[in-house]
Amino acid sequence: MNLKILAALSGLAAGAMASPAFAEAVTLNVWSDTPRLTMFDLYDQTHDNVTLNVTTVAPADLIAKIQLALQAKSEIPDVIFMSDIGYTAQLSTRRSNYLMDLTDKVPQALQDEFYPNGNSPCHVNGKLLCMRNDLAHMIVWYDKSLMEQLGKAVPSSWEEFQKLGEELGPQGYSLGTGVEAFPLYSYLVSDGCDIVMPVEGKADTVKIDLSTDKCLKPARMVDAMLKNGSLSKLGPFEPDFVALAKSGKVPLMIGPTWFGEYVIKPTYEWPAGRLAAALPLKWDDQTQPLTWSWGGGTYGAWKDTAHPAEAVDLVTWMATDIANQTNAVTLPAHRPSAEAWGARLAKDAYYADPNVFQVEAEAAKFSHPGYASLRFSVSDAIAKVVVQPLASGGTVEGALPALQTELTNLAKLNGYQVE
Amino acid sequence: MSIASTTTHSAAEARDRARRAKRKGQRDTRMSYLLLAPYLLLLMMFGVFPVAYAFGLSFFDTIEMVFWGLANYDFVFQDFRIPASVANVLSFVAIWVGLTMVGVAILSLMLDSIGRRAANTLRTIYFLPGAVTSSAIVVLWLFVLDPSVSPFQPVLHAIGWDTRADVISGIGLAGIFAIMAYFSGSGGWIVVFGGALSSLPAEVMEAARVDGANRFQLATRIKLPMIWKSLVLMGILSFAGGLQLFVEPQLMGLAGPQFAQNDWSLNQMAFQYAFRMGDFGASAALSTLLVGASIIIALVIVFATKFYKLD
Repeated sequence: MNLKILAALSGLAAGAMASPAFAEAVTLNVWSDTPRLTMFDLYDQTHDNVTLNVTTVAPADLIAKIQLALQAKSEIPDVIFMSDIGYTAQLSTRRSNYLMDLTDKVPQALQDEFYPNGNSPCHVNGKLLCMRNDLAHMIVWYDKSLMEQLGKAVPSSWEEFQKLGEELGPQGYSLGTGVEAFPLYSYLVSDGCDIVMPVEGKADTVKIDLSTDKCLKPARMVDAMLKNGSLSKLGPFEPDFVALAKSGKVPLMIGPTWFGEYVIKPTYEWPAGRLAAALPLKWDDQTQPLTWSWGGGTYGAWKDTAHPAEAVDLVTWMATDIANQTNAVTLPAHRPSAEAWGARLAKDAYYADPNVFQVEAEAAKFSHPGYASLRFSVSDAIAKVVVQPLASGGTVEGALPALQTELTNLAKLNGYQVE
Repeated sequence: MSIASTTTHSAAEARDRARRAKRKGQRDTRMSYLLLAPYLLLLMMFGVFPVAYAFGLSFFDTIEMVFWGLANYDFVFQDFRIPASVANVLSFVAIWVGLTMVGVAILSLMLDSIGRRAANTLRTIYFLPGAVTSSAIVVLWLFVLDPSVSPFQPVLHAIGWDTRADVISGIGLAGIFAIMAYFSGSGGWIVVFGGALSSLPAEVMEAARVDGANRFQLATRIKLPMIWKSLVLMGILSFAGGLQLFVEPQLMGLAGPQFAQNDWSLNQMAFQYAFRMGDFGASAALSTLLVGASIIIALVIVFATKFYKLD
């Protein structure tokens, strides 16, 4: 009898604990970078059931800090922002098994609202492990007035781009950098070169083949353009290149979607009314462009969080809430959010062309499906094996065999099957 | 009787003195241990314990904490980047230790042969970079070596280096890191050798001067042989320190992503294992190998050269 009452009481207590009337606000620990702070803050303000405890972590330190927290088994964040798409793969290994599998937790209908390949860096071995915040595919940025003044048409193919370089390079104009790893990476994959491409349907398998014409053709283009000076031997953030860009010597360059707002406007300081954008370039033998990306952050949740439902809701909201993403600093990967964001950009008098967003959205269709999250950094390997020898007279084409060896070794070391 | 009593008296006195001296000696020993205690405590906490912990960790899979013997060591030896890192670190150490031994010896001997006040001022100036953290020195050097902003711009241009990449490939990374480390570390040694040189016996210097030795001969024939052992000691300590190279290559990325060096040195590889791959076991294995190498090299030098043997 007594036992029965006790059992009934405890059942009642358990029921009461679970009912929302008695629920206290759940606290989620969040690790963010600086630009995302206001977005997390907005969630905190608009959700009474959740309190966010946000810590700012330098993007480059994120993995190291998570490793430490996992090792110490304390202070592990429930939700994180990842500035590097490689982090998704790096935080879902046996050794650092942090990320929650979101495949069944985010409705398919919502996943379908993303741009094509928008979430490709979040798919690792068929699982959805993160939600993409922003797109970062490469497009053509140009100074409309300067191009008109020079009497040049904006190129639509790589062949035209190279020809424009041949004409303008000797006159001291530059069409961007040839030595920064990410732009170089994007030139090299533009014709479908297999630089560490995940093999569809095979877990942890990548294809690496840099000996094909698809790789040699862009490599030769970069070498020729470095030689005639139309691609600079300076990185895009080096003081001398910034000075060049400020002085009207960079009429056009290939850059990611965030370049306009975050590099050209504040750093290169092009005057208002000159900056315009065009679709990514294609090779003459391609039917449509294939464009690589440079960055694009993602949100992930901890698989062992005490509050999985709230953590998933936060991740989803951050990536897809339209009111939130409209004021985001970068082009949202979620299409309805991006359209609201684009309407804001169209009113910005800084751009020479109100259709910059339309160009960016159109270009998203050509985004490379192989832009995936990997457990090692291909761009670091390019910097080490290709870029550094360039300074002592090497060529991109000449460095491809060494790059093939380096990438194959790195892939095997990180547990990939190489085809 | 009186003689005998004096003898007993003096014997008792001597015994007493010996006892007092012994007690004083014990007191001194206890005092020195007391003074050493804070250092020993910190050495145990931050030196000996982590090394022992890493040694233990290196035989375990740190994810499921199962013993797996030498698997971590095997992983390290299979890593294709290790031979390159070993070569990098050795070339850095060769350049840096050479630069330090020659540079510190020359500067110390020169300072010892000029007026005391000027020498002290210069020593303080040499010491200053050592007071700045090495990370700040790296950033400073990245500016000095960039032909577009460097105060030594004309020199760099005259050599034909127009971009940072030209300078880096021209000097070589090992050379650049050696220069950075030399300027941050040599000042302290110059101060130490200032002390060593000023404590050399004055009568020897006097005798040499009477025999007609000029300043150069005095420095190279008399002073240098007398401080040679200290120079070797500095070499050993620098060698062990040099193997631990980390900050200089790790911060190269500040010069631009195309200059980033993530796996240049062995310590960086240990960092990569632990904090990029999450493999603390492999990291511990590499660190243990590094400590082992330093200890073996130090022992060989100490015993093969009978370094601590008193003359």
